[in-house]
Amino acid sequence: MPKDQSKIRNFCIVAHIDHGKSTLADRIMDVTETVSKREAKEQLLDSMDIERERGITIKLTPVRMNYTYNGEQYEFNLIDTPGHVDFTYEVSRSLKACEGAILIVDASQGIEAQTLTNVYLALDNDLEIIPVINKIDLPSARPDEVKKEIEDVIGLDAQTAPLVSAKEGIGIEEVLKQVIELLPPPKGDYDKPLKALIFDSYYDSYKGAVSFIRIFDGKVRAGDKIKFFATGKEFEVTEVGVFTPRSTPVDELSAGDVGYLCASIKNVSDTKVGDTITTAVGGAKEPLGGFKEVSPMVFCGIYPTDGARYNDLKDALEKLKLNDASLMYEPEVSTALGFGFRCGFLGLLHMEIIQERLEREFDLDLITTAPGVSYNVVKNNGETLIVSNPSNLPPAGDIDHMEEPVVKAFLYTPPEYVGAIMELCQDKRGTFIDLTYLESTRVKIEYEMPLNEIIYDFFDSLKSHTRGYASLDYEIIGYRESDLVKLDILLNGEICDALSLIVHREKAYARGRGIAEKLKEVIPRQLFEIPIQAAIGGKVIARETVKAMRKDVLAKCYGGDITRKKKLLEKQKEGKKRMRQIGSVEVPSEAFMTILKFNK
Amino acid sequence: MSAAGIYVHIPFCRSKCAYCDFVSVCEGEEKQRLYIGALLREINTGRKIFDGVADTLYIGGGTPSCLYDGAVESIVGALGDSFDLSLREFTVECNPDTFTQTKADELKKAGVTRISLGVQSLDDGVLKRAGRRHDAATAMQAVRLAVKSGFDVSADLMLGLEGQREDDVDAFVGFMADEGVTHLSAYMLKVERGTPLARAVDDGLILPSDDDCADLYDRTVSKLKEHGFSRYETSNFCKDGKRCLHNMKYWTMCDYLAFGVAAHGKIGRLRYYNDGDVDGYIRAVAQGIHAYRTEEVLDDEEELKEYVMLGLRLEDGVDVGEAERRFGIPFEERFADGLKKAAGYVLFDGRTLRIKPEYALVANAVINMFV
Repeated sequence: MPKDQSKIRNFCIVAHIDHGKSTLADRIMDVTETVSKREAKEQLLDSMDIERERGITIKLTPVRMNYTYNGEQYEFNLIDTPGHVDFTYEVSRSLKACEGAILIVDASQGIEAQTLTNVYLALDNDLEIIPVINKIDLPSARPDEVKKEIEDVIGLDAQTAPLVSAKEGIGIEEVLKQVIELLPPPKGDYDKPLKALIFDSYYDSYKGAVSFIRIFDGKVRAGDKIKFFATGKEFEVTEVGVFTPRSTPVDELSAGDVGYLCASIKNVSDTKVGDTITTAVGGAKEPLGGFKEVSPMVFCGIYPTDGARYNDLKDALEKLKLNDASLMYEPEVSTALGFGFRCGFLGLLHMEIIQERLEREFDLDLITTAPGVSYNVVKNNGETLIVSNPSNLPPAGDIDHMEEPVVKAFLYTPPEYVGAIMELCQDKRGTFIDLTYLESTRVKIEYEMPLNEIIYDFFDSLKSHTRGYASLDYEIIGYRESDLVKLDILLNGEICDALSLIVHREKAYARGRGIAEKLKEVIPRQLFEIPIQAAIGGKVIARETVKAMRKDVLAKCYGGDITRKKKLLEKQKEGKKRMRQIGSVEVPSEAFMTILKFNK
Repeated sequence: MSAAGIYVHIPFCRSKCAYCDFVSVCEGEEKQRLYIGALLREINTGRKIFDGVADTLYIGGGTPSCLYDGAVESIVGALGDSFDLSLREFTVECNPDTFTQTKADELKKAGVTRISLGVQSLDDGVLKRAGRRHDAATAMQAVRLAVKSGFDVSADLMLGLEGQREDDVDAFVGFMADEGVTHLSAYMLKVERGTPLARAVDDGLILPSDDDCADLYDRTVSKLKEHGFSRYETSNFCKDGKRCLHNMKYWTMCDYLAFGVAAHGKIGRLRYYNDGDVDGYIRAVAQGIHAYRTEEVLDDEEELKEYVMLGLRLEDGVDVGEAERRFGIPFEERFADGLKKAAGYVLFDGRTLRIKPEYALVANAVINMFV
């Protein structure tokens, strides 16, 4: 039976970190009596520790709420969104599942950089936006100025923006009133063929891959035969349901609904975010727009610090992959680090999250090599290789040329940082494309840049150059020929393959010098002198030396206290376990990370 | 079975040095008497755990020389009542500021043969900054008094003190050699957590670097050599064969009994330790509770590990034959891996295993290749 879509509101909340997104979501659930506070913490809020600590959402967790207003019963679907450039595509799909968004701005902080990307994404998806001024209970609150900022910077009418303290529960009803009055209801057609957008998915060991969907047209029930546009695969629906926020089965999901769908799908990579589901027979002719195949852009080697835990690492990656279709991995072997995996990620944050989850949830100690991108290598004989591990690069003499991925980068910034940003982009081998004043206080700059420069330390540099005010978004536009070289690091005369990098020739000297200096700091002195060299081909371009250790001896043993001496030695020995033996040199695991964090 | 050693700990000092994290308190005679009372009582119960011969006695601290008159004699008396003493060496640690003529006479009378003087430096500035109570002149006087009184004299030199330079080392070694000191211990300052020194370092105090310390040590070794001293352990030097017999027992894993708070003993495979503070010790002994509360029984592996760890600090090195007898192992086979790793750093001829002299100061790194 068709539902009264005029009583449905699908919306999300967008905000800068710490402006109170989760707290407001909690309050809305309190007011709509959806779940207890304690459950709210477990359910709506980000479920992973890492997400909570970093204040970002990775997995999207929607919730359905009921609210009575002017005697009418309304149904709200609140969809949470991640807030990082790595996941821009996922955010855009979540936004597409909504008709409106609540924009939270902190009453004392005002508009901040991270707010903007998501606001623009919301506007791109034609969402209606309700600005909300939060934290008005703070003594430093300046709601009027912040309202003006919203009008000036984003161009939204903020005069009627609710003044809220999510913490104190002030103004929540006003927010819900505006959700009902200002956000449009969905306008799907129940009788048309099914069109459902997948905006997320996760793996459940009993139900298989579960898709989070928004129904645009038509309806779906258990027993229906459905088809995925992207893969063409067909499945029989085993269950549909809604989030209360617990997964609760229902008979039917229909136009305007947000819910989930299970169909005994074994692999999350069959439920691609952004794909459209329709019925296998008599289905829609065209999918919903905007689907993109996401592919990993950033690669690194991941090795267990303790080689004996290779199989544990393998199991852990398999488990994570079940829930994360964008994670790629394949086995690789390094002379320095032994057996491990070359892994592919959406971006740097995605990489860091996976590393942290491997370490925390699976209790693994990891060594990670510097992140890189994948290159097209065209050999003299015309053959083209795709190389993401510097060690797999053919000898320089066999290479005709190499190509690297290039992105179009969009940078949003207040005008005062334009100079700093352009300088930074030039330094990162960027090509200037365009500069537009969006408002008097906001500029959009476009550059074409090698991805390899972006993943290196661009994001951090950008933040520090602009006091956090600039935001970045980028899209891959293709591969370009580039003068790239393999930079090797030699420890005591031996190449350490795990430290090799592919860099632009012009950057090689600076990188080589920087890495050698950094390694000198992190490699402890040993019984002999250790030369650290950076080399291109056979040519050494930088050299540092770790001097031989001269003092490593125990202090006086007071009154025959041998036990204390022994403990000290054992502690030293324990420390050595975290070292990797590279040839004759002991290298601490952190050394492999330092070249990743290196700032010039 | 070789004879055992006896260690007695005196946890009193007139003041606490900035770098010290050892058990020592500044207390008057009343508390000292209580402590000695407990100590004598503990000694009386010692018979139960040991009935062999003891041939070295070492009273350390703290500052044993700051004890009230007669205390040392009472300790020796109690030990004599409980054990078969046949002392070849009887050492008392003294600080220059409390080592007076009266003290020297008293110790002589008690049978002391050897005085270990905590001189540490002969640079007034360095001494003052380290929080030592004495100056160079006092120290020199004490050294002369000890030698004149007929004791074997050992002097402690600390390396790496704030502002210390090589000329301090030169002056120190030169003076000691000239005055007839026959033993010298040269330890490097270690900044222990929780000490005033550690706080000062946190607040920006700059101490000589590891390399500076290594320079000071190398200087000490070469100066001592010039004056006829030889190194017999990483930090210990002597001439005329005047090794510290008691300390040798630690390094060769002989038995030693321990009495007093914070004292460590070893009998056979048992290592034991009187932990807690002075008051706790006095209470425990008064209640007739066995004073030592921490003990560890070494297994074969641990004992062998310690034997090698300690032996490698000695100039004589690890006695391979002795190790094979004691632990019933084929030494070369058991340590094949370590011998391979340490090949460039040790001397091994099948009978002894020694660290090459030039690597004495990085002994830990070498020892870790074996244990």
